[in-house]
Amino acid sequence: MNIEKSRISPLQFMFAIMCFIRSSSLLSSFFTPIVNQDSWLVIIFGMIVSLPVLWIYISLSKAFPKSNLIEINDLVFGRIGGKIISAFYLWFFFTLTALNLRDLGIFVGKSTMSKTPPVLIIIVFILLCAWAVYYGLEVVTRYGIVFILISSAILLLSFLVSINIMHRESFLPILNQPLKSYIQGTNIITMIPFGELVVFLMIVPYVDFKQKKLVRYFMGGFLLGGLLLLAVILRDLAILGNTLKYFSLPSFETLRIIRLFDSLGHMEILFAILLIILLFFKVTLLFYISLLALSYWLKIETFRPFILPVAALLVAYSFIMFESSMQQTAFAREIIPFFWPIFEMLLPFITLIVAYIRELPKKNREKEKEDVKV
Amino acid sequence: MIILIIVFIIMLMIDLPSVIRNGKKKILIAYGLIFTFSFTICLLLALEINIKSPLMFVDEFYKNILHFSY
Repeated sequence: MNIEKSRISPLQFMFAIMCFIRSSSLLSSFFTPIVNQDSWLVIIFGMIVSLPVLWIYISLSKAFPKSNLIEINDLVFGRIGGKIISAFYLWFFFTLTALNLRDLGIFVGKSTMSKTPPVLIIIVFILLCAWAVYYGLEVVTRYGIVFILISSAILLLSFLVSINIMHRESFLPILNQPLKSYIQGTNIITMIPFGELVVFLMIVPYVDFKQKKLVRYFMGGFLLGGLLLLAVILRDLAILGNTLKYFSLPSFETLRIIRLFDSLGHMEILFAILLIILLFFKVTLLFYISLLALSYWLKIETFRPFILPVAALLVAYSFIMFESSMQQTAFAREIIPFFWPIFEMLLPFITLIVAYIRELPKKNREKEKEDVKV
Repeated sequence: MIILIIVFIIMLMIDLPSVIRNGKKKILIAYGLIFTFSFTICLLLALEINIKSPLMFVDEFYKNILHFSY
């Protein structure tokens, strides 16, 4: 069964990963109040801790180059076991999509359109995403490169115009927090943007690259995306200093206080535009992956008829998942670091181990060689 | 609520012809189930009936049973 017929280039794949990580800069307030001035260090720790997790994803992709995560589960755990495990993943993908949709609704409501009901913002947004999803993976990932270029240009510009209000003292004292804070901060950053890269296991089979290059593009996207996230935190910290922990949207506040000459201010609108663009990319990709996973799970050749009912379900889910933003932040800080690892580390690791015990990658390679000969 | 019903009827008008034309029973059943589930959840939300979030079950399970949280 092959639902997705189009193929994307390795560069599109790499930029999709970068865009995915970069769009998580909205969520920096999950860990900045925990580690304060050492928030930038936590990103570096998170990137180091995420490397073995990424190795699991890359190994799985290499072992089953022509199968996505749902197909891998079926191959490794059998029909019934695979279906049960895939059902958990399916719920995880839907939850991620709804969470990001909710984030966007709250952000736009708070920052730019405070008098518009969030439900209206979310409905308009999901319709736009549904439109992109209808045309498949190539359209979903096509503009990743453009979005990253725009976001990097804005980041660079904000660095240049704010250099006179940056303070070196904002980073001091280094490593002065309790050990538990570093563990919690690293755990959050590892689980929230970096571990979520597990969703890319759904689209790796549709990327046009030789297997040796998989590591280069997967890792490249991860490292560059992580560095962009680090740059955002460094800028916010250098400008806001110790007050960073009091803001729910630090980057928004940073750009609000930047002034160029006497007349040019309120650059936060750039951040708002940028974030809407990046979240559009992330929600579209997650929405596409959820639908792709759903149709593979149901073994149905198309996902297009399900786009609208699933979009309606996502809108409803984004409203019922939390009663308030405070509850969401508390969940992200306290529970997600223990709950997301089931989907992002434990299940992929068990899949990899079972696949190697059953010698599936070897059998897979032999089968592929036979197919080539035929 | 009337708006919600109208929206779902429009959705049905957009999707159903292609699903029926496709001719596969499996797609029709899956579409019917997903559509009904989605409509039910949206209707409950519109009627302001409290739906417990699955994430809150997870929250309670981790905090009260596993005692796993920061």
